[in-house]
Amino acid sequence: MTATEQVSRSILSPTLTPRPDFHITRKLVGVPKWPLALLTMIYTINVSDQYVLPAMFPLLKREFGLSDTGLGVLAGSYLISVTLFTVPFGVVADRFNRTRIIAWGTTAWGMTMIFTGAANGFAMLLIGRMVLGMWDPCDNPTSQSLLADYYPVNQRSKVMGIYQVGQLAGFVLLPIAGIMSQAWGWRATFYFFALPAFVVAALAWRLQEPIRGNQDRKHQRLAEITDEQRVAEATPQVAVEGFAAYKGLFRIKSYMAMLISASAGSLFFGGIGVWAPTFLIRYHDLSIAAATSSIAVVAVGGLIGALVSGNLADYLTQHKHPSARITVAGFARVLSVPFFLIAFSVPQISLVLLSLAIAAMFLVAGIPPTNAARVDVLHPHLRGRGSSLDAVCQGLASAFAPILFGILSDATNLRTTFLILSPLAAVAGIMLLTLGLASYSKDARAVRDQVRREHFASLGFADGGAHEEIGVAEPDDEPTLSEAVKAWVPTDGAMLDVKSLDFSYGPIQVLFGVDMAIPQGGCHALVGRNGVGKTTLLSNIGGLLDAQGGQIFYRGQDLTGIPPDQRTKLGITLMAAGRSTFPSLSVRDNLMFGSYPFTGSHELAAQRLEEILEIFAPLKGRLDQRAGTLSGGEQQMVALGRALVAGPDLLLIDELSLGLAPTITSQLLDVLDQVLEFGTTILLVEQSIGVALAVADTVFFMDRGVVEPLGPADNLDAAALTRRLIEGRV
Amino acid sequence: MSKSALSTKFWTPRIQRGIFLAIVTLGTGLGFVLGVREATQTPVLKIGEPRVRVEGTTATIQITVKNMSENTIYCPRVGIAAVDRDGLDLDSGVAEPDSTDGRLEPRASANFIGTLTELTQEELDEELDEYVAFIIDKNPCE
Repeated sequence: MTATEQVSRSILSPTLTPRPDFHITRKLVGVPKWPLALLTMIYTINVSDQYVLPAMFPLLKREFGLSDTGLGVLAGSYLISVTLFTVPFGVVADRFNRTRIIAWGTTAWGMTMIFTGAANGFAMLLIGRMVLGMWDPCDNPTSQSLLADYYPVNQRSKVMGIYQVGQLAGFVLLPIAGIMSQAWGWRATFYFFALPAFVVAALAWRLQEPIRGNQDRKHQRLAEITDEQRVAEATPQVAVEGFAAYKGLFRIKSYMAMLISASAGSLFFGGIGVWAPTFLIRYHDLSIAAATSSIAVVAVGGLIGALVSGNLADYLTQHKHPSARITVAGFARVLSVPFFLIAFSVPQISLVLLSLAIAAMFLVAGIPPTNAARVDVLHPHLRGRGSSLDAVCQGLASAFAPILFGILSDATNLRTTFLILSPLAAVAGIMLLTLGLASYSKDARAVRDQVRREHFASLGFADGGAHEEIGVAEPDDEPTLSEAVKAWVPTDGAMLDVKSLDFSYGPIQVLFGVDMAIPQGGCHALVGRNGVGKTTLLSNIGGLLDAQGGQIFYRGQDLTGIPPDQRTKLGITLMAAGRSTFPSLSVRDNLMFGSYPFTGSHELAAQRLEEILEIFAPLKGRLDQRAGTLSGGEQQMVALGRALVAGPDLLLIDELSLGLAPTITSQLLDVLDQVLEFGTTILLVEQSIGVALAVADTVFFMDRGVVEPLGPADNLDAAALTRRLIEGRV
Repeated sequence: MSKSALSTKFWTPRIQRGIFLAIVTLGTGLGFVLGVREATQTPVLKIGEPRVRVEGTTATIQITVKNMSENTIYCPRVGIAAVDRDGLDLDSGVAEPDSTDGRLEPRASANFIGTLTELTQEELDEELDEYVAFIIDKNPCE
């Protein structure tokens, strides 16, 4: 019987498995998500003081008999303090342990809030306000620098988008502060607002300080780093110390483009933020309360913009648009202009608010990709200073904006002012799309190269040390791969293509730039000793673990961020090592679990169950028995049966023969032969060379986190391979 | 011993962590205790919601003040104001006792009335956020 005939006859064939279109979701992968959640929360808390004090103004005024000038001094002193301390904190962020800076800074912020709450007069309030302004900049530049080192480069925009939500969430605290102050008084509001700061500070203390430039180094592809000529090509070294560092910053064209763009954006948005309620009252007859609350639609638009643009920029970056961050940010800002013009021109209030929300969405959408792109073009030791300089420019632009709008409004009118200044958003976008786009790729590459060179130098390599650094063996004098193997290794159209995969359990790196390509069809064995990373690699392919670097392609589909359940629906099924059954469930339930990818097709599930029982006859009379009470071999049959019910296109098997008697192993290998005839491709992880060579068409060898393709199993000498396995050479 | 060696010896990670935890614990405790104390404290003079009547650009504001103390008589000075969105005064004044001499016996209430005449139509239309009343001085009576 031919394989084709078998395929047409077996209900277990992967081609008969329904694979309906499903929504592929991508989750944030890499290190745990809680640092991002924590830093976003700290951002929210940190910006909250900007909103809390104005909400307290009426109460403070009455209690201390303050004049409006006094309140103005309180507000102004804060801004002056923020401006003065932003640049020094940028330097601190680049030199010292960033998690400690955030922990200490947030604690100091909390203590200052308590001090402000205990104020007995204007002097204490003023001191409290200025000191709060001092701590404010210890968070933002430091957090952005940290996030760049925590999360993979290809997810930077998404991460910055989520982080940006922290600032928008700060607005929510304004009405909360108002309600608290009405109910309990302004002092209690300050005291209670201080409490979460201590909690997040304690958590921040526990954050691990990542190595600066860690993610940028990982992002460098193997293909790039073996190009020694390019790596050695001397791009100008960026100075990271003293005033030369600032000079260096100003020489980075794309950074300057982003700085000017962000400042222009802040100049426009800062003015709109202050004057929009007046515009709505003056031209659309809204009450003050209605106008103020209407501005909430702007915040909603901004929230959507921040989250969507980050994802979009990352998606495009991963799909052959390396400058997508700049492109998305630039176009978003330009696209905001027509909506602002509509909002400021039309008479219908509903259209005004809708246009404002869309315009705000586009304008804010430019922020996360810009923040990510700025980090890309800055040396890891300059990111604190670069971000702080950007914050100062944006802060000054925001402070000047209401004055500029006021002057122009007095000279003309508010509507004309809005219309005249709307092109500022376009200027911000065009700056990115011209100067930014022209220099971004080159600047980002220069940074990555410098990071790599510095890393080589720290390891004592003059050049070309990339191989040791990422754990790939130096090529021997004789080529490792024979011509036959080279001909076998698929270069195009591989079913499974693992590229430069890095994985660490905390600080312990297990996979080092793993490259592995598997063609469709046949059984492919991955052999290696205990603890070399075989199961880790399989778990990464199955989606149980998230790699920190590299990519896995399945039928050309990038699996990054696709969770394991959806990988199963795509056709990848993992049979874990050991007795991977649910011991307290019956054999029937265990097997039926395999029908998860086509839940609802009861008839197909029943047919497959019947077919499995034909293959694994010993299970027939034990369908209602608890799986945990079966023998080791029978449990392995259940596990394999469950995997087959899913109708896998690619079956990942971890240690099929582990702990089994040779006769049982032999039976299971016979089953694998059948499975291959269904058209399923198998990737089998094995320690037993005998088992691997008995069933596999091709063999890969793994040691110390590196994979080497050995070629067709028929060409391999079992004794030599066993010796190599024992010696552990790649 | 050099200065840096001295600082390294005493500023160890363990000491840093200890100091940090002490400050965090102190701050949490202090914030909570002070916050709860402040939130549960009842003001001696409780001021009611302002009742406002606007005629032209003149606003007349009436408020009720209640003496919450058990044994002290107060003769409070009550202020009124019209404030904008930023909490800044557009106009302010003093409210006078309505029908009493302004002496507030323990647990007693009294009405105060005041007018604001300096508001402009533009302020009323575009800037005014709310009218507020407040105690300028509790002023225990002799």
